[in-house]
Amino acid sequence: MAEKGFLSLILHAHLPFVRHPEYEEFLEERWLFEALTETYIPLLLMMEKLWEEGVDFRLTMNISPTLCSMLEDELLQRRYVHYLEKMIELCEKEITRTRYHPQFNQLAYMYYHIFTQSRHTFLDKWKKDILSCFRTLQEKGKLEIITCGATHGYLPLLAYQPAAVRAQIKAAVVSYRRVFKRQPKGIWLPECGYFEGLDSYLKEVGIKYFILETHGLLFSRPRPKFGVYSSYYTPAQVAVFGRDMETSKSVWSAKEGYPGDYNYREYYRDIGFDLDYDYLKPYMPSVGSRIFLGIKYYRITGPGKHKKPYNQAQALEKAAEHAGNFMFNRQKQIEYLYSKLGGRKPIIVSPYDAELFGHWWFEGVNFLDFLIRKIYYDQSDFKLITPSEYLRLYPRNQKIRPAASSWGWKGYSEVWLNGSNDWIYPHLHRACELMHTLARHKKVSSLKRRVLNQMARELLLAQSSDWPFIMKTGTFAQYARKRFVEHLQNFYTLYYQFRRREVEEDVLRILEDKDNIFPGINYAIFA
Amino acid sequence: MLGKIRKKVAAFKNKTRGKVKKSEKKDKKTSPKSSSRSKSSRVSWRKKIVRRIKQSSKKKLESSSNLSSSYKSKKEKNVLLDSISALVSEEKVAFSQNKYRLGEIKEKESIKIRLPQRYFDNRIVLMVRDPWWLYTYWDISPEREKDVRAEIPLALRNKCKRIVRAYEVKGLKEEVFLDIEVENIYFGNWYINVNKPEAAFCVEIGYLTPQGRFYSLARSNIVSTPYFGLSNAEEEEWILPEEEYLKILGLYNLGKSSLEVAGKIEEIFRRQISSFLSSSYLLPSSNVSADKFFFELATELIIYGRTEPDATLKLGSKKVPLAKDGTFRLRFLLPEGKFSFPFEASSSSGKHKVKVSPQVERFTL
Repeated sequence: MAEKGFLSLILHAHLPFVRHPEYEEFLEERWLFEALTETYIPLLLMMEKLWEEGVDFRLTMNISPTLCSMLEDELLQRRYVHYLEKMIELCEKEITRTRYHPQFNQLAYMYYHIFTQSRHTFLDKWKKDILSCFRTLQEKGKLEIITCGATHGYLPLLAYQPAAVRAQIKAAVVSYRRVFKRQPKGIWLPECGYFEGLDSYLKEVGIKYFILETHGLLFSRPRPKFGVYSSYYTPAQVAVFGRDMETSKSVWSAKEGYPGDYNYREYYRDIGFDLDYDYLKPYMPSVGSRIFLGIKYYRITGPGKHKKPYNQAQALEKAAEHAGNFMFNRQKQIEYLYSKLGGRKPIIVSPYDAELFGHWWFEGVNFLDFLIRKIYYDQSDFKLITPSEYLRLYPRNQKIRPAASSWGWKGYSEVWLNGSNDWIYPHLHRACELMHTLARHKKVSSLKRRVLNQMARELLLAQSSDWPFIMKTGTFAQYARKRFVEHLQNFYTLYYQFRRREVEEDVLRILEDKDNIFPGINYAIFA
Repeated sequence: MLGKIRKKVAAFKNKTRGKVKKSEKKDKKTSPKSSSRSKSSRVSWRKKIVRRIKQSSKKKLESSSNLSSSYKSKKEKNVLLDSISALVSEEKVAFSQNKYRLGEIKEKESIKIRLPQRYFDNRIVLMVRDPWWLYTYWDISPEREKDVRAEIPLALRNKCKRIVRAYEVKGLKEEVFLDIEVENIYFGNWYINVNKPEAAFCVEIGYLTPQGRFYSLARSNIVSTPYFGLSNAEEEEWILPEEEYLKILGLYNLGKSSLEVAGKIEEIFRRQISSFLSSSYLLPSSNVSADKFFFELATELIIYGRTEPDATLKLGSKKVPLAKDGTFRLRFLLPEGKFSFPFEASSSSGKHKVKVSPQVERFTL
């Protein structure tokens, strides 16, 4: 029986560029290490296994250019291995410590297994080359990798300067081509941020499709005929898809969503805050404060603060149940939509932050695994698909003018433009204007070319939406402010040298070593 | 590797310090007669930049000629040098602060890093926050302000209001939409509540006379607020009936009149989109709801001791690692109950064996 519609799961994997060779250890680098252990490696292992077992599946994944840069960076790779070794050592201690508490002891073994497994996979099996694994899966036709803004710059607020938007997109595409050896078909707009006219920038670099937040698509002019359950074309002939609300709610929502189930692991109870400080000290940052260590022994249990020990078997059972429920709801949804869309097969587009799976929702990767298998084995009402495959199926589409929007809190730009972070824009605008002027210099010595290229890197890094986002949310605000200022400071330092025609190679080299993102960058992207 | 980096950093610091001085001299020497202004600190950043670029291209042309000879008089030259050194020292401040950039871990020092506070480039910029709010910031040089002020009749100059004026742009026409009185005409920002989706706006900053004449200091770019709400259905001929359409969006029982429906949709979306999360990875680390008072307690047991460094120590069947000096330390989580810890140390020769089996019971009264 032929399918009646499609589900497109889209995972958005992104972390800001955090790399500090000038320090022996750096707290924020742990974001990458945790995401590797909890999300990226498990996802890759899951996909490899599905492939080996002949389960046909389709996933779409955005691996942001900053994340790519970090994944291929030798220093961070080395540090990740070091991190794993420390964590394994801690797990060994935990196994001893919990010897007379069987429930915790079992969990200590579970974490020991996770970290040793990660080390084995990362080091012995993949030789530290995570990106190759992603590339291979793409070449096998199971995974479609899309690109993002170069440093995840929030485009609607960069739109004041076309050069800024263009540079974000161009640098991303160049980086994608270098890493994945082909042209990206789609783009994940940073924070789903769209403004009218952005489509023509995408067209310039050959991007075929992008994804919008629900209201961005629904509020299009004219009205989109099939709601968010179809592809459309923008005025610049780029395809656009809209996010489905129902599927996003069932996974995202803290209250109604699956991840809040009482059997799942509690994220906020971590031995980093539970155990005696002296015991943990060797595994804590040297600056002295407690942090989450990623070893968590409790389940969500209930709304109160009292938590019960985690039971992995029970949690996995729940994940399987939720996967079944998710699939069943899609069958119903697709059947209904199919009956209403006049013969057209609907597509349900469900984008999520990749780090939700595994990092926040510990059982999330298992959920995906169960879901993909169930979809393949247990039903024939719908299939998994990538957006580009859907476009091949339906090359003719209604033309609409999508509405400016984002998937951030309140649906627009407030997260990145409010009292805590609006001070960054005057600086960003001037710096970009300067870079734009400099980008017209065509004949420059190779040394000056390096200066201009490094300036382009620093500016791109300053444009990252992560800094205003973190400034808004508070926890690492100081770090975000520092990073933003630092990159512009570097930018002007280099500019100063450029202008004096007296380049200090030492300074340049230090910055090149430090902010080594986008190796093949050409400052002309700011022209 | 790290040592190397540290050395580099140190080298960089020294260089930076050294170079600043050198460059200062150099700039004094080589800067041509590019400027006629006196208060350099107030010159717009943008102009500076442009001038710098011009300077560097000029330098190329003039590099062989003796530059100092081109100054008309000594006095003029001094004024010029003063202004240039002021410019350079401003940069020097910014530049020397860089030494903290790659420096020590101390957070305090990072605060010292400063970007230019102002750019003095006579600019007002308009940005869109959402369908209801715009954001504008401006940066006006005193020179520009003086020039514009000079145009205002003398009698009115002190009676003017300082305003940001928003216009709605309708095709080629512009209508005054809203005036906002501001404190600081030189430098500031404002969130403007236009409350109007799907419309184009621009703003100007300037003086408003009591008679209603407006003197503009700067004019912004034009922006459009996002569409909000569903487009009218009539535009497409073969679209689904309204009710069906709303159903496929998952919206049911919305109400009867289309006005009611539109209102509800808006409400639903406002609620919906404000509850979504984004970029979850970096969310702050506690969303646990405020709860009743709580208290938690756990017990751990530490067992430590010493034997010959080459002895073998076992707890039950498991080997206990000894430190180089023969000491050991074990730490156990101790739940409720009675536990026995059967230790056995044996000498390397196997001749001597010592057993010690402490019993521990934890119970709560």
